[in-house]
Amino acid sequence: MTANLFTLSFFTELLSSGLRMTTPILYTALGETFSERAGITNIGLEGLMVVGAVSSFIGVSLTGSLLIGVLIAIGCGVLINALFAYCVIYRHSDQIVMGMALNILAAGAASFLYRAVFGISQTPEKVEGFQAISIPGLSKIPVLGQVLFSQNILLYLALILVPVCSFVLFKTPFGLHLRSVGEYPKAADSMGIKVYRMRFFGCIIGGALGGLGGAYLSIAYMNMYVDNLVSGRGYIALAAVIFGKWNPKGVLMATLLFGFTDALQMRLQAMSLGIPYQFMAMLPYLVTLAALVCFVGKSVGPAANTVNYVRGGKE
Amino acid sequence: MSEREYLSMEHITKRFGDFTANRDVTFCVRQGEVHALLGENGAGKSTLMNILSGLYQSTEGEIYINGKKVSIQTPQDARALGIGMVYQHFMLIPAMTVTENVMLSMSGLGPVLDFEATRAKIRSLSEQYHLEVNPDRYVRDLSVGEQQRIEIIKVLCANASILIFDEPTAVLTPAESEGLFEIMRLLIQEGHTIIFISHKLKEIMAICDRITVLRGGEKVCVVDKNSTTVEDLGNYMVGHKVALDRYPGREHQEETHLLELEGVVYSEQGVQKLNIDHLHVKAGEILGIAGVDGNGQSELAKAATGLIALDQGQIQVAGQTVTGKGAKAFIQAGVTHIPEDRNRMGLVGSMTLYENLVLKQIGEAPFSSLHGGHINYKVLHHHAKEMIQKYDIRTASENLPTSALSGGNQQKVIVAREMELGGKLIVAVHPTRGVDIGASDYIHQQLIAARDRGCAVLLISADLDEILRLSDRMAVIYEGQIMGYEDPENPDINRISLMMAGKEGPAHA
Amino acid sequence: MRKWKGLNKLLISLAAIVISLALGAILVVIEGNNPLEAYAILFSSVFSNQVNFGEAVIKAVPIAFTGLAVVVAYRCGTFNLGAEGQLLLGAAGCIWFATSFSHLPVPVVLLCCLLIGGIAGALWGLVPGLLKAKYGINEIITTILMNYVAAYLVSWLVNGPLQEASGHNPQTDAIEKFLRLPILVKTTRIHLGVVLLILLSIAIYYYLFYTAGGFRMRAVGLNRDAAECSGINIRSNVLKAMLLSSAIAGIGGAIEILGVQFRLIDGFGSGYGFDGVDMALIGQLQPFGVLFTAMLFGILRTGANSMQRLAGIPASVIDVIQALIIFFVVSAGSIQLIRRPKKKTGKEELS
Repeated sequence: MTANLFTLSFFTELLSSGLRMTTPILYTALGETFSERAGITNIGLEGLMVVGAVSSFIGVSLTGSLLIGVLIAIGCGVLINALFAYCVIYRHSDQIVMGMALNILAAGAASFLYRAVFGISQTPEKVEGFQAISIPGLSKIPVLGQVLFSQNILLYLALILVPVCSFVLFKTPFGLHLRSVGEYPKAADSMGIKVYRMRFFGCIIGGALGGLGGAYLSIAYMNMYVDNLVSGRGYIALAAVIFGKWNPKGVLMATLLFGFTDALQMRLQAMSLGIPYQFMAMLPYLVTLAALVCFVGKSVGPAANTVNYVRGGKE
Repeated sequence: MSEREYLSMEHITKRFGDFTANRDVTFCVRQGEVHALLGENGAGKSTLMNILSGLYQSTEGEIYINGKKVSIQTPQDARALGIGMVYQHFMLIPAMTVTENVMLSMSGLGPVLDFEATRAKIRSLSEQYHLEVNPDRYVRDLSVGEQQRIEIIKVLCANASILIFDEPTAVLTPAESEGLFEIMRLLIQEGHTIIFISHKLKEIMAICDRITVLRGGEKVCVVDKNSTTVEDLGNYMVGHKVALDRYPGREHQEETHLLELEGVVYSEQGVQKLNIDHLHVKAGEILGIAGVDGNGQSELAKAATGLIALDQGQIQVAGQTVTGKGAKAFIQAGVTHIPEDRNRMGLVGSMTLYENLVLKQIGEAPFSSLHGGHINYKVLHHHAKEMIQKYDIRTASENLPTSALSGGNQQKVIVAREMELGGKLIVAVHPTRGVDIGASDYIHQQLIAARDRGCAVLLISADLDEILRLSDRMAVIYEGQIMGYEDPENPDINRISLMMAGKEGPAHA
Repeated sequence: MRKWKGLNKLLISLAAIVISLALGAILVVIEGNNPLEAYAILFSSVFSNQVNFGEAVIKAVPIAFTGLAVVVAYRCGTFNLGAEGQLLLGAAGCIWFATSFSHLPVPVVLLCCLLIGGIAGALWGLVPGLLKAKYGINEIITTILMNYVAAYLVSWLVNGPLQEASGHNPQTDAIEKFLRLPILVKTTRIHLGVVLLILLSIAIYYYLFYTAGGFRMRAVGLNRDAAECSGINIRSNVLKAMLLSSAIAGIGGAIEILGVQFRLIDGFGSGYGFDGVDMALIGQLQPFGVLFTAMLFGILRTGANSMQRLAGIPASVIDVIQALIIFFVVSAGSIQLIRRPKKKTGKEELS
């Protein structure tokens, strides 16, 4: 049994499914990077992904159009994060508590919506999700071809987003202003940067990408929706932002770590090595915990992250 | 007023709720002059300038530039009109580079940041005005002086013609201040106009052409430098003869050392914050520690109250070695603390007055019985009422959260709690900062009374006058080191100021 | 003054509940039903029927326990989102003892079950507690991650070492009949655990507001720096709060096993942790507030099941209402943790 553990096809499979497991977390974590760079921690990422997953699934199954599904997921993500942003930015509600509320609202709304649309049935509905697109030529490269160039379009998009996000954050005035309100909002304010508006933008981007991350799960990965589909990936994304040092490239590395751990544990489960599967399934969460312990203190986030800004206030 | 001056703010009134920060203030500046805006803390200087720079909007009043009425609603408006402010608390982002910080203040950046152009602009400005900075360094790695230069560059990059300096020397050593004045003179030569906010009379006389004095939110007068004196300005500012008399020193000194620091070294993230060979405070004396803010004062106070763990050295309180034992051991050994930031370190703002008054004593009789197992709320209320009487705390009731009190009364709550502990050593850090004059006098008297009872007082303050008025001995701290001692009764101000700038080698008492 | 503030908070919670129920009615209309009728079914099914009322109480008990757990931690400025995992571990500890040592005298077994439940919960909470107290690692993420680990751990237990003797289902053997907590009201399932819950809330209330220890813990929660300056040890208080909090959740798990479930089934406890957060927040971080909120949700959920059965309206409408209540309570701004950037070292604050 251990003999076939290290075959080439095992690795190819592992890498390509690792990338697939990475993608939803990557989307969400990239979005959260914008949000936290602007000073807003959204612990409701899990809920955001749930909303994205259920809304895109309903969209696709009602219209049959994947594009509409994706757009609906983005729209719902934006909408729900706009609500969150309104509460924490303009009404100065506690970000953590509000994020929790978002998680609960999303879970309730998702299961309500799903049942309202599909009724209360035992067998989950399925949709025709995104299919892998082999990039001509490149996909023929051994190993790499299958891993990198025979995936679905949402996965390609996620990888392309990494340098795009880096560019936006570090090379454009928008990114500069966004980061300034997450570091020292009062200073930004004194220079005429609209702190509330920039923070709101950060949340909107977080919402759009979080919704997309959820959509990936329901219409590109599982092609169905069940209540615990997201199962903690939102929280893992939250952790990924921390060890990614609030930086898109770092976030990519961090999410790859989780994606591959997840893929690995699934492979190992399938191989029945005599270890109870539950211990394999724990791996991604344990790796996240371990990473938190190792990386803490070494990465310092935006100075004003999670701190509400009150214009004209003392702080 | 027949002809308006270059910049003219007329009949400005600004209210925050019930509080009036500026009442009918008219403030005019001529082109090419250095105009001082003088007043005590809370006189309304900053509010007035924040209105000019667009951070606040005035409740009433008009602003004219070059005779034209202007409307300043946002910082961008002010920037477009050529008004730039160099803030006292730097508006810089430590986690960004100098270039990024400068770009933040610029408008019309286009779709993509042009780092090269900004760098070039910074270089040319720094050459023109002798403002040396490296555009690629992170602000967090820069000294205070360098940071101030970036602030000036930021303002110049935005093509400001009217520059507001908000207490720019508060964070500088005398030598650095002199350098700043050179830069200001250069700016004037190049045709800029400067508004200089300060309460330091000598500096104002050194650099300014005219002075507008504010007091209690109202304008007192405008005077020409050549027709006034430091004494007059002081009187205008305070409204009465400045009581700069010293409190009488204590008759007989005792020899017991109630606080003793020996070879104390402390660093934070690789930066040495404290390095004190020896320091002691005797029973019945006030040792004043003077120095420019940020030279290890906070760390000294934290070391003396057990809030930080030292890298090296010993601390004794009343003969007990308490090094490394934590704040609780220090308190038990008799240390009381009037902390530098009352809201952050002194009070639990959302707790009530009666709770805050026993923050340290809650586990003891009579406030609780059964070793802290049952809080006697009746006793707490009774105690609070007594303290409100005894320490003249102005409040509607002991049931209010302390966050509802004024700064002076909050400070009195802390003083009441700490004095009632009956400690042997009082560590008082900026005890009267941001406190009105009445409360400030009261707190001074309490410190003197404690000393006369035989307490040792370690008074750390950035306000040199406060040190000179209260201390029996005084020392100057610079970059975490004690530079030397002075006699507060006959001080050599020159020497003090040299020591504050780190000019004299470390000395022993 | 204090009373006024309390009343104010009570009003906020009540208003949030009423508004959310009204918004829930809109959902019912969208579903194509008459909301008045739906709510009538919901409430009448609970209050006109002793059995159903008993079920409402039973549903309230575990979420009240997790709610109390959240309150204790939150009062010390610590967000325990891991009550679910702690409750699970408490339940697992309890079932292990109850099935292995049933030959001991009944009161001894019951006491030990509660004790072990509490200890098991506390051990689970010790991990994030230590990580926070020692390394300053944000407990929000760690406690949640620990929930997932706990769920898999229990899943392994009920499929492996603790699986029922027959080995058919992913569950443990049931505890002996004589170990079940006595029923207090005939024809219902209301058990002795309800009394224990009420006693525990009184104890927590007393601890928080009438002892020096509780006072210090609250001071840490409201202003760490000021507490530290007052000689209060932050780390030990955070750890204490976390242990206390997770022990409460663990005891809740044990009581749920002894009073209602009698055996541990794979998937038990799901959602109790976050429900606890809701109970704590809607209950305005007051122990008795938690009891009332939990009871309200017991009623709503029991009634919602009848509503789903009788009128075909998905019971999850209650989840939406629950979330709306939270949104309103929180955005009314009555709940604020003190949070400010630490200047000392980057270690302390981690988002």
